[in-house]
Amino acid sequence: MRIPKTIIETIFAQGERESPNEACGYLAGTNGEVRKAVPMTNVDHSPEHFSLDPREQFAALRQSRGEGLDILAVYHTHPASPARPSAEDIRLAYDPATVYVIASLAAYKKVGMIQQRQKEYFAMRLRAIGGDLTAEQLRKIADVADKYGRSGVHLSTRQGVEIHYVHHTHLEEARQELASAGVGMGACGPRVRIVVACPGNATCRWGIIDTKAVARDLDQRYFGVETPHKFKMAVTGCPHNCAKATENDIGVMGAILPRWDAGKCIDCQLCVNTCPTKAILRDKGSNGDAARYVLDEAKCINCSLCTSSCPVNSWTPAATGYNLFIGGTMGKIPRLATLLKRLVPSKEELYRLIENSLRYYQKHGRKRERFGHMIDRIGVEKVKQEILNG
Amino acid sequence: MGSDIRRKIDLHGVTCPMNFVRTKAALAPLAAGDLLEVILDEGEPMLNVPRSVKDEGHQVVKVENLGETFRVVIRKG
Repeated sequence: MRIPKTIIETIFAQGERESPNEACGYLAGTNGEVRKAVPMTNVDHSPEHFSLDPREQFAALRQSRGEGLDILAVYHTHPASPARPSAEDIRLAYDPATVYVIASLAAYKKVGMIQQRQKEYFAMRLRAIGGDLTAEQLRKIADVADKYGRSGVHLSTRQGVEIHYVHHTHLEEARQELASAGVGMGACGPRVRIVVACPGNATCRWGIIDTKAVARDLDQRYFGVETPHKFKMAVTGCPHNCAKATENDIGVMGAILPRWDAGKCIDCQLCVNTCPTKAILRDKGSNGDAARYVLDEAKCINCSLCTSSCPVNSWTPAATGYNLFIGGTMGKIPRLATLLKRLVPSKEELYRLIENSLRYYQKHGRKRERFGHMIDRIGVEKVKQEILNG
Repeated sequence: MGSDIRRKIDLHGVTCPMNFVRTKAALAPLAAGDLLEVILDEGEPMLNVPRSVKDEGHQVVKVENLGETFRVVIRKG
């Protein structure tokens, strides 16, 4: 049975509303694909039991049939305990044709909270998209660190802030205080993590793309989505690669394609001497012809060094886009990313390819196998073609 | 071209941003159109100084690779 993420979110939202009591309802759909959640009243009004309201059950059955849907599952929440069936849940699950879904708010709320070596303490990993926090949010983080931690914070390698030494009995209060300033929890475990980004063209003189806008879009679409193993994304403004796009499962890099205009060129040779990959060749010409400059596109890394330093703007960007990398990782078995596509011209195309990449990994990745290692197992060219054409 | 050069400075071993500061100072007394020859190290200096020179309205007119350094000729704007 498949449950779309939006429906899972609906269940958790209902669970939060009805907490501390258990929330319950039906999942309706066809062919193992859930189409909607039908929330119902827990007539027990209890934090430890639930019973569906028989009148609502009857109405839900009739309505679903009218819409061509079957009742696929009964769901209920565990407001404070893990998503494991209690003895009572097992005793009451008498219908073998029905799936019983348990949604644990405890686990849901604990995402981003990491148990320390000192077992009663947790590290709270906070969510800062592209490393950005407002001054007000920083003040709130400082207050929470003072009140619930041991005054300090830890800066993570992914532009995040972590508050360590929060006692497990204070986690929920601390989470709510942070939420009041718009500071959410980060992610841990096998899911899409915080998206990192460099400052991009908003402030950096080398930046080619608006990295923060792309990071926000990716965060909004994918943050917390479950994957076979951890899944990291980075957006970097240009091929200087400060945000390390090539060390992430998905790496987006601002890129330009340089073009040489013979008319303006003064043959100073700055471009030939500064191109980091020696992709520009000078053809000195014969019979008194002016020298010509030729770009070797296979060597060019689309970095804009030539276009920004050329003293007469003979080199200009003929195209601007995104270089998209997949399958980079550090960790125990490092692997630099594979270039999936160079100079992707639009955000729409970029997001289509990222969507395809993530779905491909969800479908083919093995448990605890990073995206890049899956690519190597299946074959780089095969995976590239299937993602590009998917 | 060598004879047209009004001034030469050797910035080998001078790091960013001091190399650009000294380039700017060397250009200051020159007249618009005059040429300044600067010796710059490979790497960061060659990325930063020509670009900053451009930002200030001057023009790099010749670059010659001398091995680990470059000879850069700048026309004052």
